[in-house]
Amino acid sequence: MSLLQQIKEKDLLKAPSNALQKEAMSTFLAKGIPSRKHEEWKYFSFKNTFEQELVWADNLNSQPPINTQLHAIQANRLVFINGKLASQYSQLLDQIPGLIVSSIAEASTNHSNLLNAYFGKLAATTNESLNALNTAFDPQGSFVYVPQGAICKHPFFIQHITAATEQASFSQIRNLWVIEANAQAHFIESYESIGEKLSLTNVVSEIAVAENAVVNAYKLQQQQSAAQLNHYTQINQAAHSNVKQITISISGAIIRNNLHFKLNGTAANCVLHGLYVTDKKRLVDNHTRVDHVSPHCTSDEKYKGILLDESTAVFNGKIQVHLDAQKTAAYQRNQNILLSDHATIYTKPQLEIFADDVKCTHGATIGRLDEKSLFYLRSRGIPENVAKSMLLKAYAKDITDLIEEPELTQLISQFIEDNI
Amino acid sequence: MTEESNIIDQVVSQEYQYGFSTVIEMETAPKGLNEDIVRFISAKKNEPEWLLNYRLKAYKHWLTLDEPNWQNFNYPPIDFQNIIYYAAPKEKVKLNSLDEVDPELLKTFEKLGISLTEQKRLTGVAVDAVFDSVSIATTFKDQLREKGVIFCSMSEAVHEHPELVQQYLGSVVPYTDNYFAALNAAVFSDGSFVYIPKGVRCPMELSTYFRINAENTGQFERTLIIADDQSYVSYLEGCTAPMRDENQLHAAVVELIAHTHAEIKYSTVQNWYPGDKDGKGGIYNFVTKRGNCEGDYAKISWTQVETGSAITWKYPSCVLKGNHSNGEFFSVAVTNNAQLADTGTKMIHIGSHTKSRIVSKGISAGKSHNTYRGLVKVASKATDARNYTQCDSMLIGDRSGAHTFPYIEVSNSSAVVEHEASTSKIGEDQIFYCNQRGIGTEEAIGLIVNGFCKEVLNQLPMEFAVEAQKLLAVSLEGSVG
Repeated sequence: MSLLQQIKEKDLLKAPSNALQKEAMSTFLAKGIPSRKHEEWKYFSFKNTFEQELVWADNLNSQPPINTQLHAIQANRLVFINGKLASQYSQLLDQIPGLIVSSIAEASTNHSNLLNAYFGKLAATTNESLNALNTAFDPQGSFVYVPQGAICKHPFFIQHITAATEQASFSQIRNLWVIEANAQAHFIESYESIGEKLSLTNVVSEIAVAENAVVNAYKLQQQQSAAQLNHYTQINQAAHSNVKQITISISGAIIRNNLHFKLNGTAANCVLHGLYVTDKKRLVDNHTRVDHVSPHCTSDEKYKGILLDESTAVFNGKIQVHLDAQKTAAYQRNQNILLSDHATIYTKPQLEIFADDVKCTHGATIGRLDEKSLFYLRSRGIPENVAKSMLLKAYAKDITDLIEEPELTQLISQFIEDNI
Repeated sequence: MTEESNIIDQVVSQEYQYGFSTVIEMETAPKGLNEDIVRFISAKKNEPEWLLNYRLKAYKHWLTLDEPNWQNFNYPPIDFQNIIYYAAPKEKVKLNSLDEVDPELLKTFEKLGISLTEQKRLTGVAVDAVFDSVSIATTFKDQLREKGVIFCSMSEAVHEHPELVQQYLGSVVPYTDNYFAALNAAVFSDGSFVYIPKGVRCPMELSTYFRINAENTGQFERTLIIADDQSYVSYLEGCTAPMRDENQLHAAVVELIAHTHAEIKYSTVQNWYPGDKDGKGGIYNFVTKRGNCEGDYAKISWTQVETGSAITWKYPSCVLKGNHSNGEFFSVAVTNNAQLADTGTKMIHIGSHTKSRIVSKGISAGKSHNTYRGLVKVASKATDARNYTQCDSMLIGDRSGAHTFPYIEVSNSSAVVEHEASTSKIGEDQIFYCNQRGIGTEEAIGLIVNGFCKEVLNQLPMEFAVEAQKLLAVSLEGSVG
């Protein structure tokens, strides 16, 4: 049975759901899987994947061995396998009164008021049918609540593993993080998969950042060659808050990121940087959107790509400056290096501006490795592949330098060295 | 603040100076569109069978299409049955010289500053004037003919050079291209036809002046320019329309073909009636313009100064087929009051070593919105393609908007593509700097805006650069404080 049919059947079977789920399901059924005719899905669609016979990961009960390389990082750790919390891998180091770190399922029984105050309130479902699909079923994933003024010493490391060892599988993940006023927290998210079978993971993250809070979030996407990932992230920022989100996409068949920032309070700052490396026939699609709703906010966006073989990358950055968001400063760059004549990049740095006192710049470049630099290195006896790798590492350094976790930076540099 | 609002008031109350209409006996087709109207237009123009068939094919295709809705603005639906598709001044015999043109018509063009008789003789510009659906007169035809240059109205070309028209019509913009191109192919009335033979450098600027006069009419002209090997031509079009409360549709198609080593420079100064300050009336300017660089080393350059129209929706494009061919696009779009502009370009790199350059300057004032939408596409075989894009927007007044949608699609690793854009308003510090040096605010703004647009205005032929600068001054005079 195709995944789409399974979804419809599962919806009928499940217990009477709440209003949010009901509405989300009807949105999903009405809108369907976005096709390539949809402007936001111009270059690829998940339609084919939904026609495949994927097994709902709820029905899988495997506990395969997982990659623990990043467990070296001293962190408050939550590990999810097919959306279920694997407590044997999880740990909590920071003992702060009021801090909640749990699975969403647990939070819905223990902290239902808190959860309901935020859940489904940030990420839009009306125009995003895959979000609606995620919202329509019981959520699985992480819940982190950082109370007012708390400064978390250790990062939160949240590892999501999709297992598709025996059967093609489908799973949905939900993250909800709330960072209260004056608090500080760091997050490391890793999306991984196990097994060579086709898998599709549909993720929705909601992050609410209150006044003066500081959040650093690093997202690492490294999946198996048949794994597909759709990740929608909505970050809402209150006044004077600072958020840095770095997205590193290094492997997996298809990665689609929707990263949306909404700067609701004055003088909120956000940094969204990304690095994507694609090879073979893979595809990475980064759609970002920054809504400048309030005045005096800044956004700094930079995405860099390295494209090999017959791969495809899509970048669509949208900055929307609303009517009264005066004194906005928005900066957006997308840079790409094509290492093959069969790789394709589609980029669209987009600005929509409704206020006059703003400074907005955006730019995009596409090119290949500088031949002069390559020649410089070669003439000093450095072999071609080493020289190339040096230049690419330097190119990626802009992004990786912003990651304040040495283990993670090391992992990414290693990946570039190994793969190029 | 009071000074600022005074100045804004002044600009808002600026009247459209070409808003008069001419009382002249007209012959029009009945309202509405059906197969009979298409046949009627074709019969009126005494067209050969193949052209009628082409129109009918286009009409049938148009019926199968839906109006596009991806644009970055809304407009009330157009009632295509409420438009007159053909309107022509009544005339009994074919005119041989300007002396025989209805004096009322000549007066109209005189008023527009386009004297068909005197003025242009001095400046040495050949003019083709299109009044509603027909071409009124083309000047300097004989002088051009000596060089072998063909410059005439489309209807004339159909009869006198059918082989050229048949070969090239629809070869760049097929009727299947889009909704408005299909409509135009079905009902196009007149327009200009230019053919520059091999090795000829056209001795003067060619120019077409379009005027919508009749009420409830749509203007659907079609321009076709062919530059054969090693030739050069510079062409300019200008447009005006009377002030009317209803919106009028202008859906033209322009096709350019540049062969090996040929160069076409196409400039537009568009000043259709923009509607009143509340956005009532005005022209919908929905135009398809495209040029093919067929041969190696061919070059096509688009320059546009867009100040009029209630809605402008057009993307003059270059298809760079020939190796080493070159495409350029220079644009200034100024919107004021409730005007909307969604404009830009498409550069399609197919041949190797192709180059393109895009410079777009958008200025939005009042409640207007100005959108740049562009596509740069490098096909996988286009080695060593090069593109540079710069699009800057300037905002005047806090109710205006500036939007940028650049699409970049590259499939070749040797391509170098750059895109740069910025949005800003005129800085208080810039004005202050000028004030300090004894330059009044008004003048300072003129200085800054002109500097902002200079790169584009410099591309225009001399006489028109002056006209464009004046237009800019009229559209924006003092709108910043």
